[in-house]
Amino acid sequence: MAIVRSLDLPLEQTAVSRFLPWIMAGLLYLSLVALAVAAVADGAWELYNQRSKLVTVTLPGAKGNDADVETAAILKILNDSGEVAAAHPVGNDELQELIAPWLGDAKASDREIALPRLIDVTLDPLVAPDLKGLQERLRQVVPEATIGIQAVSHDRAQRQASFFRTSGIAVGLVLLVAALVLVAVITRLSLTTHQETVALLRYMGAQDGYLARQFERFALLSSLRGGLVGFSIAMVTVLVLLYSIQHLELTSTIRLGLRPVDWIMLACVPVVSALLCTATARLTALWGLSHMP
Amino acid sequence: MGHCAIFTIIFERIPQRLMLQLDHVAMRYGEGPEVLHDVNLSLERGDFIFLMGPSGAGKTTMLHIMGLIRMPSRGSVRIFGRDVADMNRDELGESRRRIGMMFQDFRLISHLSAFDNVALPLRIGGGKEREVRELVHEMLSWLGLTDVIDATPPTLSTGQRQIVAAARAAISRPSLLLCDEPTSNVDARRARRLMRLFTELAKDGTTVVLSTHNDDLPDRYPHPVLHLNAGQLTGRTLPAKPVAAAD
Ligand SMILES: Nc1ncnc2c1ncn2[C@@H]1O[C@H](COP(=O)(O)OP(=O)(O)O)[C@@H](O)[C@H]1O
Ligand SMILES: [Mg+2]
Repeated sequence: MAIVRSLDLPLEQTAVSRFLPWIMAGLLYLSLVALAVAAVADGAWELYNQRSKLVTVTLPGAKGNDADVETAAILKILNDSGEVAAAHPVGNDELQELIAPWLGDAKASDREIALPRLIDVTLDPLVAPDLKGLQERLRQVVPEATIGIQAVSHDRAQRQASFFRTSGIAVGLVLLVAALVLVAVITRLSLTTHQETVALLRYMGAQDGYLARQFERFALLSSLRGGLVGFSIAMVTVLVLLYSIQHLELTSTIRLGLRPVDWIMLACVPVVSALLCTATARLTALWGLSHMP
Repeated sequence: MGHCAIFTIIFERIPQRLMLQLDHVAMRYGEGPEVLHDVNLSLERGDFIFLMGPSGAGKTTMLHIMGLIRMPSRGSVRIFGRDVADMNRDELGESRRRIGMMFQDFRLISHLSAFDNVALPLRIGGGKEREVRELVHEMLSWLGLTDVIDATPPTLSTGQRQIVAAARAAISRPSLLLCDEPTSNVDARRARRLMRLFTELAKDGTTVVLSTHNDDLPDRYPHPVLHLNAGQLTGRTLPAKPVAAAD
């Protein structure tokens, strides 16, 4: 004898309903992958958000007093500007270190070429930065001054992250809603398909609650089974994707990954969707039964 | 004050003894001809009667009306002291749970095992799974079906299916047991077993109605016979000779 009691209605045997677990697995798989993409994108967005608060001002190489006067003037503009929280010139030693790989061991001061001067700028996180406007003002003092090249590319990456986050969540939710609609449709169709058996159970005195429980149990079992399969395959997919992205070094500036809270959220999706499917089946069955003679 | 109490006792006892009452019941299917005409019948607790008539006389139709499966086109049905026309859906279900119906065409659920088919009325009635198992095993082994307990109806012989159908009708010890030609497909030994089951239930207070289209059963069991011919109850014969039901 089976451990799980058979359903009174042959929902696991008839074409209308028997594939529900597999369809649920497919929908949950796609939904989880989409939500995982959204979570990764959200993590990336947050990182970019922190990074984009840091920009670098680059001034062309110059020597002597002129250079110090220029640097001081640029620092004054930066410090006076509302969007800048702090500005620090990068020290000579640090600069040497930065360019060492390109110039070799020779001391830069021994050379003819003057090194570019860099200023690290921390932007005020509460003010939307107008980097173009700031650069214009710097160029009135030093025409060749440039600002925040990385910040510009961050900006694009961040927009991408934001896009993936929004569309991932949207696709994930649409798929979950589709799963609920599917459960409702299958429940309603099954009620019609099995109306003779439903009538027989009613002749034995079965109330609507008892009959609805058949559909509820079926939906719960199907969505749990499908959810488990979909979740497992989705997690393998996500891990493989993350692994290959990191090893292909598609993104050099930040590390893409799922945070602990993301894993927890993804693990909750199959459980929550199973509960919602169960409730949907119950309500649909009760509604359908109340319309049957 | 004293006789008030006596009246109360009398009035409360009447609906308890009276299980089923058909009052001027007539039936037609859709726009078809009337197949039952002015049927009047009262059955009390523990009554055991045969409903006899040729094929097409209306036996099945009458049992379906008594079993609250069909509503009559005319007349009233009172069951367990209440008019069926006044019952809402929940009350109808409640009354139906006190009725055991053995259909002429069995109506077993084909994807369920013999065990699960017999267990249905108990589960519908909210029985605990442990008790359900015990009762169903007991019933099926008593009827000699232990070896096919996990088999589904399509794999059973007609006789075995009929016994499963009888077991399902009787398993919840209903107040009213309606059996539509219950022994038509089973061998003599199994037929005696079924009759013994029905008799035991009647002794415990179940009202039993068995339909049959041959004289065989009424000849061997001492119960009143209602004769149904062309939709009309034409007479009632009392048992001629008390024959001990041998087993
Ligand atoms: N579902 C139905 N629809 C229309 N006519 C029916 C239906 N069931 C039975 N009848 C008719 O009602 C009459 C009585 O049938 P039934 O109650 O099955 O008799 P019995 O059980 O005594 O053989 C028959 O003439 C039969 O054709
Ligand atoms: Mg018949």
